[in-house]
Amino acid sequence: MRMSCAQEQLSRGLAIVSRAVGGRTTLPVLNNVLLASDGERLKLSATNLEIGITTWVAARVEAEGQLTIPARLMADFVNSLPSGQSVLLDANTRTHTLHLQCARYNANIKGIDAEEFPPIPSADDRPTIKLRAGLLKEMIGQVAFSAARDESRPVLAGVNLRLDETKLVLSAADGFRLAKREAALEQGWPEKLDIIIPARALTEVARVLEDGDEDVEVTVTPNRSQVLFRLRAPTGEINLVSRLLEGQFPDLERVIPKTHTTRVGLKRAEFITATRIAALFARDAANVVRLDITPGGEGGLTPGSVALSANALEVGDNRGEIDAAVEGDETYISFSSEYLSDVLGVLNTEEIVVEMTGPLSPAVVRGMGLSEYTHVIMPMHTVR
Amino acid sequence: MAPTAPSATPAPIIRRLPPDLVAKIAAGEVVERPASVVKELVENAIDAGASAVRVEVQRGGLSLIRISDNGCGIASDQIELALLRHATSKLQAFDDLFRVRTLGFRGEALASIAAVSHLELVSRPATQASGRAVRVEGGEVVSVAPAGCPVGTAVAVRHLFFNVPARQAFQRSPAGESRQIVQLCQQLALTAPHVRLLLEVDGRLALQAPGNGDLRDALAAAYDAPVAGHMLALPELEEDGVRVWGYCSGPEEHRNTRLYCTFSVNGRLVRSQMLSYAVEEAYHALLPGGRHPLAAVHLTVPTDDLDVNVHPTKIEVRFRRDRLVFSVVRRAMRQALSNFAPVPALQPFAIGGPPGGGQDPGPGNGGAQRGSEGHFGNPTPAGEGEAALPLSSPASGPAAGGAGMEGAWPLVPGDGAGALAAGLLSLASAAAGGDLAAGASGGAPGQRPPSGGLRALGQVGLTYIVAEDASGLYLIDQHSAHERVVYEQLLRAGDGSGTAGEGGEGRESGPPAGTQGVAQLLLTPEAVTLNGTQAAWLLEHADTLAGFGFQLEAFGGHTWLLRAVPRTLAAKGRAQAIGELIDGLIEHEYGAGPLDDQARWAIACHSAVRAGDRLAPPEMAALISQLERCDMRRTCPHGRPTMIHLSHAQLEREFGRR
Repeated sequence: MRMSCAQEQLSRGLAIVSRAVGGRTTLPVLNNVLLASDGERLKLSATNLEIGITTWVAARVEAEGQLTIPARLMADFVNSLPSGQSVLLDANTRTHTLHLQCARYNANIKGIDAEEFPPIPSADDRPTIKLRAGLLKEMIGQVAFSAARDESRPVLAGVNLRLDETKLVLSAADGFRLAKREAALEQGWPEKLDIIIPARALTEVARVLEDGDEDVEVTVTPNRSQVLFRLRAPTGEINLVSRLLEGQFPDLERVIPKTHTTRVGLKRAEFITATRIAALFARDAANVVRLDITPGGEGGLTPGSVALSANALEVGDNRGEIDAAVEGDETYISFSSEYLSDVLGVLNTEEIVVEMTGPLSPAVVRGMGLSEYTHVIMPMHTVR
Repeated sequence: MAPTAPSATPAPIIRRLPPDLVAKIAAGEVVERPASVVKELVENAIDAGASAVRVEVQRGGLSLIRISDNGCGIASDQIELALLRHATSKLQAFDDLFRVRTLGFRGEALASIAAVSHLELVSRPATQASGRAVRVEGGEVVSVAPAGCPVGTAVAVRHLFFNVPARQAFQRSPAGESRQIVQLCQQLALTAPHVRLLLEVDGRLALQAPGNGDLRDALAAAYDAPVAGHMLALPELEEDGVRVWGYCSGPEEHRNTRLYCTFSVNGRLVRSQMLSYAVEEAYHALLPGGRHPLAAVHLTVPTDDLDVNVHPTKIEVRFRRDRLVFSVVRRAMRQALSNFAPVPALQPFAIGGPPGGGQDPGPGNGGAQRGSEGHFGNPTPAGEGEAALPLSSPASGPAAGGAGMEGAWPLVPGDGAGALAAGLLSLASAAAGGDLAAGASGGAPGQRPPSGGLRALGQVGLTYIVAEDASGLYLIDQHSAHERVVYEQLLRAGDGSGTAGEGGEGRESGPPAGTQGVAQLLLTPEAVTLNGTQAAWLLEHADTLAGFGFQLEAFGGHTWLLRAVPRTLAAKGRAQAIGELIDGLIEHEYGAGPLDDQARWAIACHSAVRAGDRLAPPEMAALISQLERCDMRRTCPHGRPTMIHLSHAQLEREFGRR
């Protein structure tokens, strides 16, 4: 294999695939990036067996071939090279050594035979769904954080992706909260699709996606064991493959409350500030933040309010009050400050709506005017 | 045939027992085995005001027990009286029984021993020019004659139980009896540190207590010097006339038997389940299962509060206010432990000399003194940095002489290192968030910040956190440490709701009001299917679990619906742990304390990060800062250490730099 490509492009490509480089030493080849000639391009691949990322860099190919090279050293070396220069890659497949040359810098890096690199499936010509990259990125951001972080119930560590002819639904739940985001589709999916993707893999997808209008193509392998995201960005193509989680995702629809007795509308910025302050005290008090909701008086002439408070026995306490449009009953409810700040962090509407039915029932948090998104938080309470 | 009589057996005839049989039966109560003879005679010697007592035994005491003292002696004209049953100089009227200050008082010991042995008593009071010797065989006086002898009393007991073959058959091997006598003499030496006690077993010196009144020296004689050097002085506590002082071992020193706990009440060696329990309670969650501490606990109680006349051997006593005694003892130990709990040092080097161990003051006020020396770090020489106490003890409350200071700070050689540590501290607490460091940094010169300056350096094997402070390097077991943190959080939360101070005593800084358990409701109730044992257990104890935030509803059969879990478990997403948790509680994996406390451990254990969990630097810093705020930060609730220490001095030695 002998080819040359631009330093900037090679450096960027290595940075992208490095996200999938495994840290485990049991299989040394997983610490490596696969370099392969692919037509008039250089293909870069890395995998940790959970996810695999492949990207392509324009190259002038003089001789075809492939080799794997320690990803970290390769990326650090290429990153340090002067920009605007072309990098020559010359692999000796017999000694598994890659010779690099750029300007007056020369290096030889010892690698591992490409045959040892685990195969990463490609999309080929299977049916795909096209999504807008920016939308998918936003949806993942609003949902994936609600997935369980431990593996005690494996399906909950994943994000449920459902597709039908009209819409795409992503949902996740960790047992104490759930997030669901829908998006209408112009071009639907011919058959119903219902898969569970590890939240960690989706987070990586969101990371490589850009906030643009480019298309992302989503494909599932025929045996439904892997999902593939193919992004065609102006800077190059990126493929991300993830294994799928097996199992039945719980039906979350029936958990989402359909009614409420109190509805509160708040300014998001104020809500975030009050939550952040309360969290300072809550972190020493089981993270409990209490919301006291008071409806406005005199037929709406005086505004209602929400008071956020936290009380840590050995640290101190605080109480912050913000104006709110309150419909319905006066009530109170306690949440984990983490859960509250997590959801406030992913909503981008100016106003937030909280719907609740008393202190011991699930509460729904939405963005005002963002009907596609639903977040449910289970309250906390103190037992005697 | 004539009718037969209704019964052929004649009625048994009642007879008065002959006096020698009565004497033997009575002797059996007092003199059970050779060790009892030693105990009675040594106590007689102490009652006689002896400052030196010599004990010789041969063949486990069955051949010979000889006890000689330099006490007041027995006047020659009274010496035969001394051998009569119920003859004593120590008690005159019945009411005196409740004001007993001497160890003996029943007037039974000598007579009882004489009844079952060949006994020779030689005694001379200081006022007489010569003494008198009496020989008794099986209770019969064989000879009385004047004798030349030093001031004091010597009793030689030979052929013990020669006339009680049944008793003889029940004796252990001579070696076993000797062991008992050695143990007893060790305990007597701890009970009476002012008496020079010498024990020779088959001609070999087995114990030599200096008798200088220093309990630590007595401990050194009874056990060994390094062990005694590491023992912690109990803070001297007094409440309502009940005073306690003494020493106990740190959590790193333990034995597999309770025999190393010696209790002395008003100078009397006693055995008391209640006192043993107070000690176990104090060490609760500090020692590995089945291990027991070393301790020498001295109690002074008003004489009318104590009933020693429970059993002829007087080793069992009753307290009028046993709850008070219990709580004073437990509190004293708890304070000593929370003041000073050294981090086990990394082998091969033993921990250096104990801070202040050499110049320990008398036992009377040793407690407070010693605790504060190590603690406030002022006058201690820099060379002791090795055994320093780098972590704080924020919640020790009235500990350490009641000075109420904020706690320990590393004893660092020189102020530069201290300043460095303070800097690191602020870093660590900034990262962890919410420490009290800021308040102290502006304090008076020489006043050290209240919290330690441990700084996390990284993680080893995804299991241990490497940390350093001015005194050296620490390895912290992340699971044990977190378990301890959660456990104490739950404990504090429980305290607040006024659970009558059980388990929370000695923590005066306890919050006035607060949360018991915080329950996090589940999105969907989770069906938990238990096996028969688990379900039966749960039926009985559901309330206890509910108190911590578990909300369980019977759903028929052995299935329960889990609706809420304790907050600490939710944070880890381990709502499913309930079955394992119940199993652990059934198997008593979480200690033998009250169920509440076992549940607290269990929840802490399941909530804690595990070995193999990757921790980000801020998480490590947060864990360390939380650990530093724990009362018992050196061990996890199971009693395993949370951290081990490698001091700069050790490092230097290992690398041959000095």
